[in-house]
Amino acid sequence: MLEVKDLDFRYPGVGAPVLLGACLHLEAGVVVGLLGANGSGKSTLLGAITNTIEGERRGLIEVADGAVGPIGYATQDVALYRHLSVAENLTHAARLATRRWRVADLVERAIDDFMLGPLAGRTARELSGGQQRIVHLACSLVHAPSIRLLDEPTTALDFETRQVLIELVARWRSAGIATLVTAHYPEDVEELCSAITVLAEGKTYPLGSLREYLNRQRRLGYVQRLNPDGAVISTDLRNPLGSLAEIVQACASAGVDPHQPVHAIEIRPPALRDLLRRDPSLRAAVEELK
Amino acid sequence: MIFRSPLVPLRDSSPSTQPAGHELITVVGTFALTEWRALVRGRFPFVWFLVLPAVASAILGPALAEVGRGGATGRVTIGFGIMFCYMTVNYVGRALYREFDAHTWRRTATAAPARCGYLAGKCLAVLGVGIMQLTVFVVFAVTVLGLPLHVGLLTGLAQLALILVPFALTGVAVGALMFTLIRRAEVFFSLTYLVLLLLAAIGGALVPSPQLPRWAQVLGWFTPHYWAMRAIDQTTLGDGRWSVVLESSALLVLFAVVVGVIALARFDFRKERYSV
Repeated sequence: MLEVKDLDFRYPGVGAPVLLGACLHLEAGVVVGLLGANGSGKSTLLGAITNTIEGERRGLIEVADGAVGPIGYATQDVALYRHLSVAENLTHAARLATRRWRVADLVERAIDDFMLGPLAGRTARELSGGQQRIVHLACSLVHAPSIRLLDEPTTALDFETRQVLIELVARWRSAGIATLVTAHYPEDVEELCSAITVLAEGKTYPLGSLREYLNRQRRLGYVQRLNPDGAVISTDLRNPLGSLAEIVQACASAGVDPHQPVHAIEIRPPALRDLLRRDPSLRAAVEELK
Repeated sequence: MIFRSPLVPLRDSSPSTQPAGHELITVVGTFALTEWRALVRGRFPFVWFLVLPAVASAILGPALAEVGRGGATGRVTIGFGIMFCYMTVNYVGRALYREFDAHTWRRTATAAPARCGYLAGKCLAVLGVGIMQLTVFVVFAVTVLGLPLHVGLLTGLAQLALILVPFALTGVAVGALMFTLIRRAEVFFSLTYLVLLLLAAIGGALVPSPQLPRWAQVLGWFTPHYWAMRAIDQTTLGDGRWSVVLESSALLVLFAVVVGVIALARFDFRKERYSV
């Protein structure tokens, strides 16, 4: 649906390029999670794809012919006219992105999908931060595009609204929509995405299907030991059902003093965060994924 | 390398029922409606456009009328209207910087509406308010303050329309051009007040041009205010010669078109601006 190859991007007047040969492959029905540290260029990549930022851009960006557009781009900043009501904001966004005869239907559908009925008549300035975020997402995607780029969509969302978003993204996946989600937190990617790509030092590292990646890596268990001062030390454990000796050995290899009292040991499957830490090629990028 | 920019919007796969011209009208209408709502719901714009010039002309009008050629308070009132009509420069800036204040500019850029449609839509509501403001002041000056229309009511109103509409248009064109030149909103807004005062002063909107120093008179020829006031004086206090009115009107239209085209050529959705 969307193919990005060898994309370089440099802001005007800045020496070093932010993106250096970034690649991305977005297929229909796939939700790609783009992970990266602060300043790694996630938002720049989205801006370069949509050609909405000023700078020197080189590379190949190809959009499939059958895509319904324009690309739906939900920026990191909440983008709403504060003097307009939720319904008026949606109508404004829809009128710009689609045919006039579709506007009313699309607005109605967005209000239903994002559960905005009770908010429809309220002006954006009257909404809470989380409500503004979900209305912003609805406005960005009101024209039902087949390619959707979401820049940190879970920011400021409460638990319920986050669940609404997770369910929506799952529905988009079933409906064959190609989605890219940037996130600081691997937990968000685990819940929202079906594939992952890491962005570090201007380059992308596609890790493929999230399920396959997790299955591949989950032959390793995981152990935690609490220190007396409360700090958590994490070590890998080959076999989560293994012997105590293996746990002790794993703790020793992690540099834990065997004479310190152990408050608790927890063994659980590794989360995406733990797996990303293990991959040496991504260590620099992952250091800040906290 | 092949480069297919997604800035060119992907075509909707649904069958089209509208000709291309309709899309431009939709863009203009969409932004015009949003900006009109901002002006009406903000309410404060009407203080700038109506209350402030009314108060200023009520306080300073009689004093300035003494300096005036015809001694007409009505002339001074219209002069204040002309001066404060250039708040359109400021409000066009507000409309354009609003995209950055509201962070909507990237979504707008992704939709990639026609630039001319976008700028026209952003300016249309402000232009309407500018014309409405001038109309109010002219009607007040003629009906209440007794400013004469020697050429008759209908001819006088036609001549005034030929002047005031292009004049209001110059204001929005200047605002659009200034926006393309200035990145920071605070710099833009500071400069708009300077433009408002300076152009009105040297253009003879407050004190008739012949009463100004020679250097100011010469500079005044390069301001829309000078040509607007020249024609208004001709219609109201003069004998209403069409040649003067049409000449001034044509120059105002030319000024607005040239400035507007430069603004359109310079405008780029990707150039980020910083709102206050």
